[in-house]
Amino acid sequence: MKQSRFLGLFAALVYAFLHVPLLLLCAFSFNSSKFTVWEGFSLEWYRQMFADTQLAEAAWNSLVIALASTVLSTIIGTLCAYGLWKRGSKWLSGSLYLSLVTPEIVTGISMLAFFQWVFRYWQVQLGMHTVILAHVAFSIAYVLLVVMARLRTAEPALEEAALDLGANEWQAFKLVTLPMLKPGIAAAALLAFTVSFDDYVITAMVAGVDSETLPMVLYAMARRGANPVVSAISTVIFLGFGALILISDRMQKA
Amino acid sequence: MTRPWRLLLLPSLFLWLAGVLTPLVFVLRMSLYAHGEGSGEKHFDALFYQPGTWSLQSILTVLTEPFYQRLFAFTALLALTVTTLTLLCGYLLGYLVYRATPKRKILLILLIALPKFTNILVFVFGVKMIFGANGFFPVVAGEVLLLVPYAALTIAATLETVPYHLVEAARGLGASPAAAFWRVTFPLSMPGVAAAAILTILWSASGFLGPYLLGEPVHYTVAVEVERQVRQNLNWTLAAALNVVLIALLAGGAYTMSLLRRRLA
Repeated sequence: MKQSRFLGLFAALVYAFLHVPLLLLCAFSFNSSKFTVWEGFSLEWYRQMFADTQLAEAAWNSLVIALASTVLSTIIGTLCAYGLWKRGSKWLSGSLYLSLVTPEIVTGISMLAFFQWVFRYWQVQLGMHTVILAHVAFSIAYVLLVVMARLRTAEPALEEAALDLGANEWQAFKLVTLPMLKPGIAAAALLAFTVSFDDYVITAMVAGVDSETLPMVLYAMARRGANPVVSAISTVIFLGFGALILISDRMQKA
Repeated sequence: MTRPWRLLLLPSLFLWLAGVLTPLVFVLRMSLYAHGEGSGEKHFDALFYQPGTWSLQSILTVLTEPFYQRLFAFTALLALTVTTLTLLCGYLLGYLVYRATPKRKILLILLIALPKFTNILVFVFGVKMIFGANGFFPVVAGEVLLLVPYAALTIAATLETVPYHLVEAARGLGASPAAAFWRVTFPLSMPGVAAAAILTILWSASGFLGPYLLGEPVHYTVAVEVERQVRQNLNWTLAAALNVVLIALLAGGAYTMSLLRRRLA
């Protein structure tokens, strides 16, 4: 069984490589040296991170954008998934997934060109609202994907039974299908939040001067060269998302 | 009575039209404008293209200039290398998930998905730290690590539908473990491999952050050039033409693959 041992070792290596980048960042965020040589434990980079007002503003923007687009895309996407489940159309659901396979850079440029064209007739500027609109537009496909997967295992007969027993269509949805969909909707919202909070390529295209997000600031910092503050922020983001996943897991079990 | 659930689709359809389809049509139109002057006191958008004109100039530039031909060739080479490696690693991880006990299955899936819950940028910085210097190998490694989780989970989901007693039956009839795998498990998992391949090719061919942050300028992809044209050269028509050619190639590639898949199935 030499062969399978070799494959096992290889798999372990792939698993390790998936996690090494993050572990390295976490480790070096506590390094007192600016370079990737260990010199000693220090919280200097975390102090600099909390002192940076531009960073705080970008983090706040990211949070507002991610929350707004999560709420909107989760509601709209769930309604759409329910509608498609009731009355499926292969052509329609296929085209809604279009944004999943469109290269990000294409989506970004096309939205920028579109917004600029709209602004000729309608005096507005690029800003938080354009970023939120763009995020909602590309998050809906993710929400659909997750909620539709949950609906695929649902039993239409249950709603019909509720209708037979005197519920109206809204009650049947609210009392029968919605509770069953809850875990799916929670997962979809979590996914929508992550894709919105993480997005750089599309956001950088449609953002205005007042709507710089955290990934944009991170990107600018990293382009300027090795910067342990980036590692510190990365560690905080990673821990934040870890906590979010744990909380949502607990909530689904409860 | 009108069916109320048709109304439920309206918000999505509206957003899809405004946020996905219209912009795509815009890119197509943009690639057919004469390019702008980049200066002067014009309307903001007239700096980047000349409204009302029709011109094949940008598309022809992309199709004929050696620089762009080399760019597309390199992007294709990168995408194929990344896809091959991603599918190999993804299949292995997916197979381990398939064969694991239910308890370990969840752990293995979590370990695959965990890196996806961080910022892509953050992940790429981490990869940069491992390698130190930029180059072709770091770009490939970065893209593979970014895409392996998707490939592994897609393949695992398809493998889950393959009943293991089929393999046991093949073994019972005298097949070696390798023969049982290649003649039973592998053919049945092909739909998952094909789906993963399409996703990986699409994403690696349009990769931006990986090549930009981990590569030297010779390792830049079409997406990086698009960004440079928009941000630095303010040549929107050329950027749009690059996009149109990229989409056409990707759509052609995806279509060919789906035809192949139908033939294999």
